[in-house]
Amino acid sequence: MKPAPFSYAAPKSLEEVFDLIELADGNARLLAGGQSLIPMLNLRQLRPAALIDLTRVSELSRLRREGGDLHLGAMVRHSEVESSSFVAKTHSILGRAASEIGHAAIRNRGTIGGSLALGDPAGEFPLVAAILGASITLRSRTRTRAVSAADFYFGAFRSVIEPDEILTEVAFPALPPRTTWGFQELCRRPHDFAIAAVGATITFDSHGRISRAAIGLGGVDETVILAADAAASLIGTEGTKTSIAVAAQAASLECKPVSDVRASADYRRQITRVLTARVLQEAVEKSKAS
Amino acid sequence: MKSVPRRGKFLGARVSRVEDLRVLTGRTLFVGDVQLPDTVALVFLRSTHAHARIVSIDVSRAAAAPGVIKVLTGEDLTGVLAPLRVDWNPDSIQPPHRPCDWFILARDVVRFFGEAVAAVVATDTYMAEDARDLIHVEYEPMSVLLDAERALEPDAPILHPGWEDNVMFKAERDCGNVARAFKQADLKVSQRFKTGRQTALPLETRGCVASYDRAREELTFWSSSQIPHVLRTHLARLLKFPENRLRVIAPDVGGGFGQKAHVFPEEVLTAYLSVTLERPVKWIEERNENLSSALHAKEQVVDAEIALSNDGSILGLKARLVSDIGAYTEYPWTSWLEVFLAGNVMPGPYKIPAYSFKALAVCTNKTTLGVYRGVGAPVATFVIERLLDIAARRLHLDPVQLRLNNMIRKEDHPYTNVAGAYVESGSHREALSKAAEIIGYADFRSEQKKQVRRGRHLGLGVASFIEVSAPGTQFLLAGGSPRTAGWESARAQMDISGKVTIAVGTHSHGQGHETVFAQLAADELGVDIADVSIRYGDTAVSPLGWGTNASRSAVVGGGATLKAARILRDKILRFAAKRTEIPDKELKLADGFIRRIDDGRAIAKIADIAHDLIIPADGNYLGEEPGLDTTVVYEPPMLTNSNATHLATVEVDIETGQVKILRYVVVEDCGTVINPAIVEGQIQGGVTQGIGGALYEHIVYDSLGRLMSNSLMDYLPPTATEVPTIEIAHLESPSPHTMLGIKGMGEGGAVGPWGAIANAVEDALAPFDVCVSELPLTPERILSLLNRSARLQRATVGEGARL
Repeated sequence: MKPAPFSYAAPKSLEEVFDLIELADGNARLLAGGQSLIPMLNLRQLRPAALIDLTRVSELSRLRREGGDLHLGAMVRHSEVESSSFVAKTHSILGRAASEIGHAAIRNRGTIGGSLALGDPAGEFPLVAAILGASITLRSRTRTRAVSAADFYFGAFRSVIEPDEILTEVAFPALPPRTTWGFQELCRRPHDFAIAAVGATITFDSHGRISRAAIGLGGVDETVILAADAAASLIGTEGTKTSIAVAAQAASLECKPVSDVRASADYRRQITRVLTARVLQEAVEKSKAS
Repeated sequence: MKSVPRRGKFLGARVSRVEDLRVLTGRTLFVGDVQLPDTVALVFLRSTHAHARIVSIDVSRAAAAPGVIKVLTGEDLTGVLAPLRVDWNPDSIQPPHRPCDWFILARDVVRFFGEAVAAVVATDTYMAEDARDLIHVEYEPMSVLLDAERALEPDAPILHPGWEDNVMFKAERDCGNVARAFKQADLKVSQRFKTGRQTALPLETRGCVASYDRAREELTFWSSSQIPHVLRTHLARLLKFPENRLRVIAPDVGGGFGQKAHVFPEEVLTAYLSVTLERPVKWIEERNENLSSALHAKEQVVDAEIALSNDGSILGLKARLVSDIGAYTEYPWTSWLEVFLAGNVMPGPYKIPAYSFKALAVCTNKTTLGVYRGVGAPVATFVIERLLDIAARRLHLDPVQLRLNNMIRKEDHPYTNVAGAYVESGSHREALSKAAEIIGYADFRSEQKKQVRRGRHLGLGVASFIEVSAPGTQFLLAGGSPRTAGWESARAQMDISGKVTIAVGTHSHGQGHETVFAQLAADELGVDIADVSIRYGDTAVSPLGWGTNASRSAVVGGGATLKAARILRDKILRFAAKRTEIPDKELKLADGFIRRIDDGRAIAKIADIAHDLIIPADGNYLGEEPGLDTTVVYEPPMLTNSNATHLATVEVDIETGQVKILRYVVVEDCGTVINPAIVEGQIQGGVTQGIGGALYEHIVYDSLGRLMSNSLMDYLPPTATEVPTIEIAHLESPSPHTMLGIKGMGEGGAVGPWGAIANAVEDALAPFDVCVSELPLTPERILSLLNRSARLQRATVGEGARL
């Protein structure tokens, strides 16, 4: 199918982007990787009057470290996150999450900013942002604000981004020492949209007990959520099979999955328990190995 | 792997396909590549309701939109274009079916989500789609039927005017003494089976370009079709256009699998518009249109029962098959093909003394059912193979041994089963034994036991079948097949330079005919395969034929090619014999020369003889008619039967329900093999599609009859990651009746997987006592089978039983 008519611009600076947004009077869409946006245009599910291509706004593509935090510009491509040793040095979970997104061709175009702005409840980057407690920077012509991942979504594909704002970068705080992670998705075929996705970080103290844990659930609620009760149940434990099973069961009860053409709510709930256990097991085994 | 014998320079050889380079690099003409000056774009507005009355259609804004040339609705075509309607042929010996009208654009009522309601013609597709958005249709929803059993209930709404119920066709057959068989049985296994709704999903969607030349009053029609001559006949009839001025070209086609062996309303309208507008009109289907508005396949509910004695001998079989054929009937065939074939082939390679079945084709508000690779055989094979596994488990017999004991033996051929199906040759027991040997049956069973102790669940399943192919004319006409015959034509020419052209009436859309027929001709005519050009797809070039479906082409296209090539061969030998005074019986054609058979000595160059048969230097044709050009017709036997066994091993993750196929073995017998690489390619493609139907592919409607699986995000064909390397072995039981003993086998790959994989999954889950009866076997379905089983276990054991 062909998209409805639209105008196209490829600005080179953020100032130009704000100009174009204002000109379009609420009818513009920002084009990052286009892997979700363009199909929606082609299917005429969206009909923006103007498409503003961010590819040439070079300041959006930077990766940097500040303090211990990792800052990724909105236009950083998934393929770069996947293969970057700069990223892997401190936040290897990001590379793993990126590698699950679609196929190589999609990852070459798709961006972290686009993924976060889209806010797919089954999306890999929204999930990892929640788990790591990321901070997302939104800029308009007049102000810049940082929103924590926990406050960023209020519904499926609904974020707090205002029509005159652009997501410019996301900052991932440094992970405490002795922190490991696990990340698994359940799809029908590798790299399909996830039916459910779970990620977790656990931090062990010097006595071999879990001092910190974060468990994120994707695709099993309106937005990505953190399974707070499940994470809390791990604190003070040694990450045994029993404590993992308890946490997994708790996680499956904390989500409110829906039924759709891909899977029923019941199945999603069951899979949440299974994936949570597997992800926690993965994290525990990694910490034992290191 | 058992290798295939070489019978000639090319017969039996793994010749690389000549088609591949051009199609894989896209350097060829698909219908989307047809570019003619002045072409206009055609798009369709399709119903968003499954069943509704069309109250009004307002096209005024669309008609006034920029770039728009014409907007049409069903009303505009009343009295102008007849609907697609297949009337029952009273000369047929089959029971009657009820005809219905599938209008080119819906009239008064829409009966499935995606039915074409209006058409827009504009200068390009963008403009046409913009205008399409401006059409306003008012629908009055009617109650929706989405289940065949529901459609059979006496109070169900009737979908077609004048019909007493929603049954388009019913047939019954009763062979042998079924009642007595079941009375005498030591074991009866009764089960309801459900198979999912699928669609053929060709890589290239449908599409056509019609170009009317008003000076010559001729219409050229390109279509992504499997049946160019049949399409021509029907277009001519439906448009009331003289057939001799209508040329159909099916260029390179990106897969058909049966879906494109039909004539579609879109094709008729495209042709009509070109004649009306006197300029080229182009329609290229979108993927979501193909999913909603081409044809669906396979969905059946089968209640089957098998009777056996304690030693595992099958005493009888009965089945009630209900096919959900959707809203209309596939044109120009009828949508009872799926269910009737399933009923007829269910006995498979087993000796069953008593068999009865009842088959019903029922209309619902879904996309119409058409033929798709295997047609009925996948369902039938799934049913009988599941019944046999269940029986084996209950009788505590090995499932492979149970089958071997009941199969038709080599020495039984030619075998006629209780329903009158004639099987000329085959290797049923040999194929199953070979498959078990390849997998390492005993080793697998011990590995399976070992892994259960580690919490891993492996399973093994088999399915064996007979694949019918290349139906003859009498068979087709008796089967009520309108306007098609079983024979096939070929025109063979050798030109003045000694190069060969063979034009056939079959159509290759992935099967590799250009390679395979060239192999046959090259062997007969003693030329190099590179000097043989195979042509098809263009009604102006190919003699009248019936296209490609029913796995017919190797038998009939190959047969006609051989027959024609042999006539040229004989003429060349006769002429050479006259020239040299060596009897033609002592001569052969090989490697570019006429040679003596006894010592291989070259007597003359084939190219020189060819030249002289056209323009002899001395002007003397030696009593032969000038030229090397012959057109023949080849009629195959009634039916030709191949056989195969599929064997799958799987691992099931009992926590998620996911299935991984570990190994997949096919032992196939298609008689004389022309090119084993092509046979293997056919199997790989067919098995992939079978895996799709077994585990992944599922057409899903919501409760209002709207198609939910309308993109490749939700309709999931297997990809390279889902399909293991398929291990293939060949056996050869040539047909005593066909040329060279060739048999058709193009569809068999898709026939075995449902039975093999379903059996393997149930075998893997044997500790949990589940019954696999419904496809596709999604992880969710498997998990719910396990959950139910756990509940049952807890209910019987009391507390404490855990998965």
